[in-house]
Parts: sequence; C-alpha cells; structure tokens
Amino acid sequence: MKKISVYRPTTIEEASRILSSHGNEAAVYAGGTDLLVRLKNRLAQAPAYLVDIKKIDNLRYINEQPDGGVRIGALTKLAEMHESPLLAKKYPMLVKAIGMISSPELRNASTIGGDLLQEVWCQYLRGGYSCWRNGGYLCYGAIGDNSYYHSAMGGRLCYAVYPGDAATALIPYDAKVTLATPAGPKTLTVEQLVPGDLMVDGRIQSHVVRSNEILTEVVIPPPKANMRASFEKLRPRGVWDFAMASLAMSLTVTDNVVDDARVVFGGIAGKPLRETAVEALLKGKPLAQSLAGEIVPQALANAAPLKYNAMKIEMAKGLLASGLTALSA
Amino acid sequence: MKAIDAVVFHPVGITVDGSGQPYPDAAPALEELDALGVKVIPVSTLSVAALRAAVADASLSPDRVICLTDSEQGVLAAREAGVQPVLMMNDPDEAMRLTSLNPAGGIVSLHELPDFVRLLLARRP
Repeated sequence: MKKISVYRPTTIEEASRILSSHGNEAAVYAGGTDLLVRLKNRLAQAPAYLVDIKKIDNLRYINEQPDGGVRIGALTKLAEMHESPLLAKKYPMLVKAIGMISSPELRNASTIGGDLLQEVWCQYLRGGYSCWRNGGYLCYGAIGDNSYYHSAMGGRLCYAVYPGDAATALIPYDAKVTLATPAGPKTLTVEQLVPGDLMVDGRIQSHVVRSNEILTEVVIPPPKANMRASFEKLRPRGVWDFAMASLAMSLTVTDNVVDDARVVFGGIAGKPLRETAVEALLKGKPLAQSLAGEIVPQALANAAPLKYNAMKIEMAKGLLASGLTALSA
Repeated sequence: MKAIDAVVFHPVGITVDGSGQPYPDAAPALEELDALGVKVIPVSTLSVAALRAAVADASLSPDRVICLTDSEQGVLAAREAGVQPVLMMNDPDEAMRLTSLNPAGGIVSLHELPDFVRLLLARRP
C-alpha cells in the first residue's frame, strides 16, 4: 500500500482548501469502503492524501423539510437510510434499493455520498491492470471477461458499468445533490451528477465532481401522492453483489392512466440509464396487465452488448416486464 | 505514452470493412481528429518501410505517431518503425492475445480515438 497522509478538517471550507492544494493527489475520505479498497488494490490513481471529512459537523442527517421533501447529509450511512422510518414512509422504493446494496456490515460503514461517487468495480481495474482508469490506455473489460460488471449499452474508452444502486433509485424521485465547490454551493440533479464516463481533471470517471469539490447533501422532492414505484435487482450472488441488471421505475397515475414515468436501468451501462423512449411510450397508456407485452419489446433498442454479456439485456427486459406487471396490479 | 501528432493505419478494419464499405463512425471521427490537429495518414500496407516512409514524408517525429492496427504484424512493424502501436480491438479474443505484445493502447471503435487523443493531451500536455 502506498504511503498516505490524512487530513482531518473540521469545516467544509478547510476541506475544500486542502483538496484544492493537492489536486488529483487528494481525495475525500468518508466511509472508506471504496477508497480504502482502491488503496489496498494499489491502483496507480489512488490518492496520496486523504481528506477525512468525518469530523465536519452537520453532514450526517435525514431531515424532513416543510414542503414534505427530505434532505440527507452526505455522511449519512446507508444503514441509517435503510432503517429510517421517514424514508420508508415517503420513499419506500429507495429504501428497498438501499437494502440491496452490499452487506449489512458494509452498509454500516458506507455513506450515501460515497455510494453515489464510488469507483467502478471492474475486476481488471481492481486487479491492477493498466487500464484507462488506472493510468493506461486500454479497456481490458471490453475484450476480456465482461459477463458481470461491464456495459451492454456501449462505452466511451472504459466499458465498466456504473455500480451504484442509490443513484439509480434516486433518479425516479427527481432527486438532486449539492456540491461544495471553491466558487460556492452547486446543485445538480442525480442524472447530471453521474452522466457516465467522462474526463474530469485528466481522469476518466463516472461522475462530474472535480478533485476540489465535495458532495454535501442529497435533496429529494416531496413524494407525489399518485406515484407508484418499484426497484428490482439481479446480481451474480443473491446475498450481496453489484447489479448485473437493476431497474428503478416510477409511474405517476391518474384515473388508471400513466401521466408520467421514470424508467432507470442500473448495472448495464456506464451510468444509471434512463430509458426515455420507454417513458414516452408509457405516457397516456392505461395501466393493464397487457402493458408489459406492448412495451418491453421496444425497450433498450440501442443495446450494444460485449462478447459475454448479451444476457444482461434480456435480464433488464425481464425486470421491466416484472416491474410493469407489479405496478399495474 | 507521448502526445501525438498523427495516426497511421491501413484502412481495412479501421475505416472500411473487408469489402471497402466505410464504417459509419469513420468520417465523423476523422473530422474530429482533424479539428484536434492530428494528421490522418492511410498507408497501403503496414510494413516497417511503409510506416517509416509515411512518417518521413510528413516530417513527423516517429514517437509522436500512433499506428492503429488489429494484427500482430502491425504491432511488430510499428515497434520496429519507432511509432506507437495502438490496437483496434475488432476481435476481442485476438485483441486480448495481442495485449501480451504490450501495445501503447487500444480502442474498441474509431469514434473513441478523439477521446484517446484528448486524454493523452490532458495527461501529457
């Protein structure tokens, strides 16, 4: 493991200054369930300076807002979200998704901020191969074993999938995040936060957060009274694993007709994939058990599976069928 | 790997298929490379002599040129000519085998090459 230095700032401003002074050599350290593994894996791009933000007050909370929405501090543990009666009452689909992330032990350590911004779990990257995300210039996942953790929807240099479930489940609720930046707070939708592989400060990453920015909060709007939502996840090991395919879906329904829809697949692309073509097809349709048969064949028309992962598309379509059937019941 | 000034390739398997039909992503990618100031140099064969001639004719420094290839012969010729071999990973199994020759990089599709160049510039300005 490389030699590291740890800072323990007590304010966001102090943390931001430290991050700015070290550039890509520094990283925010919170739960550590991703970052410390990257260090142990001896990845070339693992940081040399950890900015431990756990001493910063007021980043760990789940607060109901006057408008009925909820704000969640970035240091809130996934376990705290999973056990929150407030979240269970307002956003049961999110709570279900959180409960399917890794194991109880890891949910006790992992934070919501870290889950949203985690590095991909490609076995080649984590195995120290010199790939795009590890200082190299080639994606081994695109040409090697891509059965589980690689995109079936194309890629951009890196073909690993975005692994987070929380982002996938937050998008149907139109959730936003707040970033602390040197220029002041910045608000993004979760979709904008994780747009898939892109170059940020000379690195390929799944999210837009720069090396001197800190995710501080997740903001979920008040739940819609007529919204139905579902989350399902298929994984290599049922006890705990990353998604081979997952689906977070919400339908807003009036008089048994779909007014609005959010269909977001996880585990099949380099980002939580909003299937807007399916969302458009669903709008104006009456809810019925026959809906799945009509919609599913038209889903994921842009699929581009790699050699060993075409089954992910079938899995994703199966999730769409079961989700629509469940929400139509 | 160094920043690059040019990309050299034999068109079959890179910009056109075996019957000479252009790949749909080829033209936009080549235009983007041009906008990035990267010269695009097709050669009739991936021999050491042809690569050296292409580099000399364009007055380029060989270590700032990449040779895009999907074959062992192309990787070896590029190395001998002093240019940087980059795999066009058309066949995954063959590409994985060719990684043992330690190419400078690899792409799945030509549309990725402009991003390859941008990342290279960001890392090695």
